[in-house]
Amino acid sequence: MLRMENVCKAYAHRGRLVKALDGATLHIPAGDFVSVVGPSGSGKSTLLLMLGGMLSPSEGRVLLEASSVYDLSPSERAKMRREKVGFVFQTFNLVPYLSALENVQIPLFLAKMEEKAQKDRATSLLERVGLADRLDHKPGELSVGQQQRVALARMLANDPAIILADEPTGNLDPETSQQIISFLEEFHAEGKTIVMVTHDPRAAKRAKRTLRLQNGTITCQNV
Amino acid sequence: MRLRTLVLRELFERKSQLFTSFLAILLGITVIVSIKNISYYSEKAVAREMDSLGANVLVLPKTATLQDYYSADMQGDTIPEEYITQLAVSDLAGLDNVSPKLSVPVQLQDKTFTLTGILPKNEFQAKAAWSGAGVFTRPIGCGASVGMMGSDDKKTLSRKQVITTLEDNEVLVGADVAAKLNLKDADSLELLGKKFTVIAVLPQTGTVDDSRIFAHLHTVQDLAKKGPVVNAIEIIGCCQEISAGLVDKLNRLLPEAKVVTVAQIAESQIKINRMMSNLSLMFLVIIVCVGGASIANYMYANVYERRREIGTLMALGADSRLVLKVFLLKALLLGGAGGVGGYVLGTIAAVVLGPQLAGVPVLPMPLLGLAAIGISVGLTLVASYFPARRAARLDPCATFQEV
Amino acid sequence: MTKKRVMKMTQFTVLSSLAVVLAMCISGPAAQAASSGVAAIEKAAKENKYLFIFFWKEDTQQSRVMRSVFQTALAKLTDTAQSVEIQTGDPAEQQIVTRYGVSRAPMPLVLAIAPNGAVTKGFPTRFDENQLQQAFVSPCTAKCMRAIQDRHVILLCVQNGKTQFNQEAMLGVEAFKADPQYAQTTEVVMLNPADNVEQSFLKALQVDPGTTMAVTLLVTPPGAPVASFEGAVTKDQIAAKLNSAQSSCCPGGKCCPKK
Repeated sequence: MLRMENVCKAYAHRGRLVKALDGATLHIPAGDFVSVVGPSGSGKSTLLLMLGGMLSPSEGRVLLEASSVYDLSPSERAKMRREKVGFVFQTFNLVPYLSALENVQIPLFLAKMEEKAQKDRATSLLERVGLADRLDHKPGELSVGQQQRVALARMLANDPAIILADEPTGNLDPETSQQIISFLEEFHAEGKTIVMVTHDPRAAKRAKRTLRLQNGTITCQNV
Repeated sequence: MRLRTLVLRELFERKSQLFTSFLAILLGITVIVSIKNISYYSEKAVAREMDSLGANVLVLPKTATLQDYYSADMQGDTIPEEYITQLAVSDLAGLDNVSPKLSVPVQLQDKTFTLTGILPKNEFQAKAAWSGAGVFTRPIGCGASVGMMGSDDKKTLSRKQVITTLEDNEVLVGADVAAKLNLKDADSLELLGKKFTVIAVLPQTGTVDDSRIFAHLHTVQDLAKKGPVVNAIEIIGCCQEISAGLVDKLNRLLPEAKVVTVAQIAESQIKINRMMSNLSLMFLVIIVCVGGASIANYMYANVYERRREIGTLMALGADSRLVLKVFLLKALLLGGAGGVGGYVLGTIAAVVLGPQLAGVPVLPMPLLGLAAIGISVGLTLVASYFPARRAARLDPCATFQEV
Repeated sequence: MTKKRVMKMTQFTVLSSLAVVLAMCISGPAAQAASSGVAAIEKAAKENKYLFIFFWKEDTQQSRVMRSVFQTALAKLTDTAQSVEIQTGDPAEQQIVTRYGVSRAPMPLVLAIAPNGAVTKGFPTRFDENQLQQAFVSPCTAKCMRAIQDRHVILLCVQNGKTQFNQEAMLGVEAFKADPQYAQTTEVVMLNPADNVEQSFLKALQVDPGTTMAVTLLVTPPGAPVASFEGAVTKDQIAAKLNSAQSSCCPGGKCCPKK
């Protein structure tokens, strides 16, 4: 499903060249649940964004279902993200002035779904994550755990085949973190491919396999 | 969820920021609309006066202001009726249609009207005979109308012509007067203790004459106990260039009077109108610069504040075209609201203040609304284009934690 | 004196007083009716002389000076003119004052009246002997001035035995005059172009005294010729010119001079 071939990413920072990724190669088959661990600054988020078509490599290729992601035009990549990729962020990244329901509707709106259908689907997704009674609440009126659940519901809106989660439990307490990871396991059981960046070893263990990233290279792969 | 919902929700999220940048546009458009509205009607009034009176020459008391003539100032100074004889016997061409007037206030049914004394043309032309046989060599005066015995259509009294005959006890009433007092031809009327017969109700002219009652000049002089004087002598012409040439000659003939053309009267108003026009242009430039900068500044700040949101939208599958649309739609709505609000406020200001500032009634101008919205929307779109483009080209990765 | 005589004298006195009173009553209004102004006008017209009327309001220095000039000048014109002095405030003279509209005129004022009743010249405030001479105009001028002052239209027919199309011109003129619409307000005046007395009038009207064609001029109040027709003319042509003169602001509709 997802493949990286000798991918390098370098950028200039205060006059120096910094290598975020250096010759990274990996293969993530469909239905896999992979956790990516490593110290801060090791390039985990860079890897995730690259897999999601959000950051082009300086060298190498990123392939999704055998097609090169970065040979697509920006609008084609956006379409790819809409249809096939779901992101979960550490800081939830909910739109602060929209309600929970409206936040979940955003991907559906981007996919040009009709408004009533948007509402129905968003409502059922929020019910699934246990927030049926919080549809009209704005993010500022929800707890961090609830916010992340809204983010999960939003991520599921277009039924993506691939879920890219960047530190999904980074801002949560242990109990809530467990809840979120359980949801991810549930999604995995439904056949979705999940790549989760985390520095929490307990969360990492819940994945099928773990990749270690150090100084821009993938140093260890568990199968 | 629609694009419009996304934009409107965000717009009303931070109301104080929105308000300050919106206010600049709103106030600017209000000022431009009100100035343009007032000057349009003022110019129209001047043009109408110029059209009907433009070639007329006025002989006024030396101390009269040009406004006195139009406000029919009845407390003002007077000039001797003798001047009419001097005009009649002079050999100046163009003095065939002369209309001396003396106005006094009269009370009728608790309302105040203006009683204006006028001299019938036959009495003036009789004096023209005193200039002798030269009357056959004088070219037909500009503005002269051939008045024969029997061509006495009293209803055609207007500023272009003079009444041919008028008896001591006859009056003509303006359209508004007749309406207010319910008068018609052959009715009786008592003014200042004397009984008059209404020989004609004049047609509507849209000028001050509609609210006047016209009687014989000598009757009005006697009733008002003013003696043989008049407020003004109007010489009706039809060519502005010729009238302008006549002014000097008349000034030499009547050195104790003030002789002006209506064009000169209108000149000051025309100057004011021109100044207002320039002022509105200046305002437009200021609005464009200040208002545009303010909007652009607000938009740039907005893009910066929402960079994470933009990155998230892109992560969710929004392309750069959609992001551009979000910000341009916001600009469109701001501009549209500013234009509509500015037009409404500006029109109200013009309708209320116009009569006081320019002395003319002012009505709303729908076309000005279109222009106001066009300018406002155009300005906000242009000012927002670069910020919107920046948003569309945002690197989402830079907005997320740790690259 | 006997009682009888005294009674007879008393009767006589009473009767004669009554007679005097009666005579006064009869003659008073008659005397008032004949104002000096009206009488003077009638007399001058009868004798085919001009009448110069000296109007004055108050006995001012100006009035006295001008009266003196007036009297000196008129003393030299007794062959052709007569004079009368009228005070504008005199109740007996109000008819004249109103007729000539002089109540508000600057004073003193001299008006010259031709034998046919036309006012040929007015001299407000000040004048000299030479200027008074300008009041004398040719007979045709006086006729035309009278017509204009009556607010009539004049059809001035300039023709004599040497001009052509006389009859054709007269046909049109007479047809116009016969039309009920214009009959009451039209005067027809004949003018011989060879008449020496009328040469200055012809010059003023810009008509060639040596014209070989009959010329018909349409003259309207206030006095300038509106149209000139050479040779034959029809009633419709005259009527058309009259209508256009009445409806347009100025001749030909072009008011302003060409730039």
